[in-house]
Amino acid sequence: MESQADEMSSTTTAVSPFAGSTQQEEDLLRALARAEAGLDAEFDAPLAGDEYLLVWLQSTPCLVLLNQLREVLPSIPQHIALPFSPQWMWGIFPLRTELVALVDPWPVLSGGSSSEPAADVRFHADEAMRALVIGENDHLLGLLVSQVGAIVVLDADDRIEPGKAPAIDVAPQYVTGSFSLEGVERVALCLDVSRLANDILSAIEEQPAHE
Amino acid sequence: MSDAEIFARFIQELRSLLSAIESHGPSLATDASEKSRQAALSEVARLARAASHLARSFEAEDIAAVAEAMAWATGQSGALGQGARISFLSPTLVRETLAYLRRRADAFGDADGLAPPDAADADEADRLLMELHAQIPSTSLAGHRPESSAQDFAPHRSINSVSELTLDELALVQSFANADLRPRDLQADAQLLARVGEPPAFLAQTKSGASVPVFGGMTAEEFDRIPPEMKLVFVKESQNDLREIGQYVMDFEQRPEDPTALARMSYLAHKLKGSAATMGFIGFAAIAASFQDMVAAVQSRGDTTDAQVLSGLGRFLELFEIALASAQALEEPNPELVDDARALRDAFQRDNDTELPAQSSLAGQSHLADRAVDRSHSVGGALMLHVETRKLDVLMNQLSALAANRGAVSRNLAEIARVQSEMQVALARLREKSTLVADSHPLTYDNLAALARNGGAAPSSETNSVWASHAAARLTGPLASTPSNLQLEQYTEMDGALRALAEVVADITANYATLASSLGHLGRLTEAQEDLTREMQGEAMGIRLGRLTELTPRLRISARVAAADFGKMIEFDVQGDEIEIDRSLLEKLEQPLIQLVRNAIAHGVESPVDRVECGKPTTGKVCLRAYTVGSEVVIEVSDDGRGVNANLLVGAAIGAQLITPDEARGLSHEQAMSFMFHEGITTSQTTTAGYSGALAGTGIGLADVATTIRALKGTISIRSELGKGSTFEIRAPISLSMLPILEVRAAGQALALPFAMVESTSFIEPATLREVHTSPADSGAGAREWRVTVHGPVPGSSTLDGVDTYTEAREIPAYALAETLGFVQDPEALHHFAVLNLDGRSVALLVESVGDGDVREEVVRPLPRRMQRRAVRGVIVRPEDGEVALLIDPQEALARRLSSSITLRPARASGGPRATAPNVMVVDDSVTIRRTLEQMLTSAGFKTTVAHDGYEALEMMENELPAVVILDVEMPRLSGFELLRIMRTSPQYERVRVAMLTSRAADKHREYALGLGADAYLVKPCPQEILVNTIERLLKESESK
Repeated sequence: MESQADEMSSTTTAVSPFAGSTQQEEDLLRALARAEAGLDAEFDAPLAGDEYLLVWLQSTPCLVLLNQLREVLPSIPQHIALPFSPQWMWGIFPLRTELVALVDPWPVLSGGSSSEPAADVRFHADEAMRALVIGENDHLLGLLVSQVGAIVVLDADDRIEPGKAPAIDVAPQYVTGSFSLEGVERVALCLDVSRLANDILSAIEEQPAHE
Repeated sequence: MSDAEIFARFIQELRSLLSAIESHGPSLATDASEKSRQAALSEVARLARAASHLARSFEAEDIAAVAEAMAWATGQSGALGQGARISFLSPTLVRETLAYLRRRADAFGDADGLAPPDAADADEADRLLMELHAQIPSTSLAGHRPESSAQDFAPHRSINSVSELTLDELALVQSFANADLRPRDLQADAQLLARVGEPPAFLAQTKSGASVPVFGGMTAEEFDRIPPEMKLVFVKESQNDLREIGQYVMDFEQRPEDPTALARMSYLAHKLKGSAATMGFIGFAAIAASFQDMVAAVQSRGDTTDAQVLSGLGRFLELFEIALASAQALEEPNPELVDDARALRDAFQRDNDTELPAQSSLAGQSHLADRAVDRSHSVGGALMLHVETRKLDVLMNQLSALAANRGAVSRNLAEIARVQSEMQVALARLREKSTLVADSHPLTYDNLAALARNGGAAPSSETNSVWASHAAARLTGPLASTPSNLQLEQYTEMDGALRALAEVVADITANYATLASSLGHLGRLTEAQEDLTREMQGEAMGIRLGRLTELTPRLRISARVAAADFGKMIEFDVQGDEIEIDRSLLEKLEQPLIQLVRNAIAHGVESPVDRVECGKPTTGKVCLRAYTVGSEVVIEVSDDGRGVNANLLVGAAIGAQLITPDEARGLSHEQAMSFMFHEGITTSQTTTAGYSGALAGTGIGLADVATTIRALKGTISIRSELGKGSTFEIRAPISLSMLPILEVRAAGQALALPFAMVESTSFIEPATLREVHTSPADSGAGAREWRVTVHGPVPGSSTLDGVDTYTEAREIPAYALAETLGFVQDPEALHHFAVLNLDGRSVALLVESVGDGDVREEVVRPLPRRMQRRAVRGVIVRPEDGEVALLIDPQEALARRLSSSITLRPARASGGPRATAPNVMVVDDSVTIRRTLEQMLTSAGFKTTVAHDGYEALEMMENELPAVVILDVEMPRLSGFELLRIMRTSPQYERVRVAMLTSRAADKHREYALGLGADAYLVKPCPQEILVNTIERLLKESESK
């Protein structure tokens, strides 16, 4: 996995490629902050496309629109398991004044049942894992990803329409398109984060079976 | 004043009013002067209204209706006739009406009691009502509105138009504002009044000072005493009601053929009218009354597609908004608004061809509209600000996050302090080594020069002794006498390095001192910030708190209305309502309390006739008593009525197939009573048990009340004795956002339990734990059940010297806490258990560890909606390390398990502070024990004080001697044995009984304590009933000595 990021950092059109080092993470955080504050024009040359964050879920490269991200946590936060939750929900953690659900989105993304506990889907945490915080107010989610790649700027014209590129292990309803990136062996799938978040939030509600 | 006297006074007053009306007869003649005729019409209208309200207060409905119609007809006639010398009111009809009223009054006087009209009188009343209402053609009303709105009187079927009354009349009527009085058994009342000599209910005090006997009245002073906060509750409720009306207007627009929307609007208007009048917002009530009339007019038309209807409804909503803004400022709305409302109403009451009146200039005024959203106002000179509870919760969360951040800062400071300490050691070593190096390399320029000056002799300083001998040994030959500069050059490099080293050491030392000073300052600032954060949390909590007194007026009103509704005579008493609880809790408790009070009156207290037959006073007592126990508020609603027949409840439960007859035989009294709150028990099944499943007049069952209370993380229970009365007890946390908790760990998770539920904690000893049930593997985790043996004295096993013997006592059900939450728990890791009191049942929860044993008061953050779990009350973020802990709701976590178990310990004895509660002092150095015992004893009715060691206990006893001391042994400063020795050798403590409560179970400790003079010896953990029984025994012994 790490080799994928290293390789890609030197060959793609990444604005600030990195492979997990602290400095690179800081660059990412700064980029997120700039994007949130709408300050990109002041600091960078005009961008000819949309900004995405490249991440890996398991071994699948995925793209998340930068403006859909609230922040990227540099490590897996200290959390506590919540009773009567799907197994892929690791728990909850406080983020300043809010409580965030920490989930492994892969079982949902890969088309497994989102409402029933899935066996053995929790992968072991390692140093490369990060949590992407998305959503607002009472609907915050921390999405666990295997690895964070780079921020890439991609032209919409280069996007491969859904269905025209094989999305082998991701349910099609969560894919809005894909891009072929230099240095990345597989096409990177653009994720419909809003839909994914909605499905996950519905799935983590306490189920009647626990009544 | 006896009932008979009051009744006689009613007759007398009615006759006086009729005589006064008759006296105006000549002035009503058409040949009378315009001025005198107008005055007479006005006076007759006023007197007739007074007669109507007086009659209605005694429920003489036919007199009230006829007099009301007369008041309306004369009032309208006077208004229409102004300046026109015309009268629509026939003098003959006036005479016939007066004759009817007098005949009815005489009939009452002759019968010495209230009696319904006979058939002839009923026919006559109908005729008069029809003719009086027919006196004024409806189409002639438009354009002839009276100038004085207070004198305007529309043809209502009831007395709901309170805005049109004088103040004196208002005081009388407002007591019925919320009452939808049902016909009473007049015959039974008459019999009762003839038999007993007690007043029927209340005397209403009018603003002029006159006392008017009524059933369920409220005085003007009481209205004045309604706190502003209560009125603001009305504002908030009205906002919700108006929102709902707005929604129904939209529904009506989409489906005008559906009668539901109009019916709901009518209901809400009725509700607004009643509550506004009750709170003293008469203008608001008048607008609501007009709105209700308008809706009624629309309903009666049948054709609801008139475009003007929607416009009219919208106009009313605007008027309501402006009136609400005034109410928010605790002011009456501008009278023009009331006029606007009436004009709108009249437009719809006229005919089908509605033409809406011109909109008042007030309706569009921006400053009034602005006031609708103004959230501040002044009460008693102080600015009041309304803030949504949600915003306070956000503030609390931020303060909690601030506290957690401060914890992180403290942790970092501690780490810096550790490094600083290591630096200090390293610096000392550096200094030492620097000196050693300097001493080991003496051939510096300075040293050589000094050596030269001394002619080869070593300098005398002690520090140079080492290098002197060394140098002397090396400086021989030509160099020994006169070292040249050239020869010294080889030493200058070393000299420079040593000098630089010395300077670095000096710099580091100086900087270290500065750093240490700054760190010390930072530490103090952090401590100050911690205090400030804690204070801010306390202040924020204080904002959330409200007094129970805010509910008292409404409860009193509800009690009176219920008494009127159900023909009961009630004395309603409220005690302890000054306590403060979480405002959101306060709001949610309102309806359950109102329902319990109404229920007590409707189903608990017997009718006056029945009470006389039972040998009870005709006036029943209903009492609401509130007090706090630890972090819980306890509210009791009790009555001295018929009580509940537990056997009938059990029968109903069997009938509903909730239990089998075999199971029923094993039920305790408390378990039987708990069926009161089961939704499976219907009205028909328990009517004869005293209380019904459906609450009085509301359709809301006790099961619903119980559900509401449980949603508040509270409990509800009932104690009842057949023929003597019942007490409903609600227990709920004082605050939903800050709770004392006990930390535990289970399945590796940090969890917290509400401390109010924790009876005790202990290590698990293998011999005391046995697994009794394990479900098949496919049933998943969480199905295991254990029994754990808890130790304590056996009741009634006291020895002759009055000391309880210590022995193993009882087994209680136990569950692994983690498994109740669906987590996998390694049984080998279970080392502790916490005994919890769940609705009087003792249940043990097995855990891996129990924190540090201390109670912590923590901010509880609610879970986001999608993450809410019934078994989890919220989340606690530990300030010291930022770790998250789930606050568990044991009741919910154990719900499924406990519902299947009926072999549980009976509920504990009734609690609450007694009138003259004996003082019991708890002396223990453990805050957990102190808090547990304080809670336990307070709930058992004792006044409880606490001291954390023997020394503090002695200090406290200087001020007040307790009746009983519960004394631990091992304590700092002054141990329990030392305190006991002092007390038993000092005459002033002679009457103080001492019960040792210690974990030392060995006989030698017991014998030692008894030898010192202990009166009882108990071993921890001690069940509540044992402790209470021991204290009761000691008190009795003390009294008998």
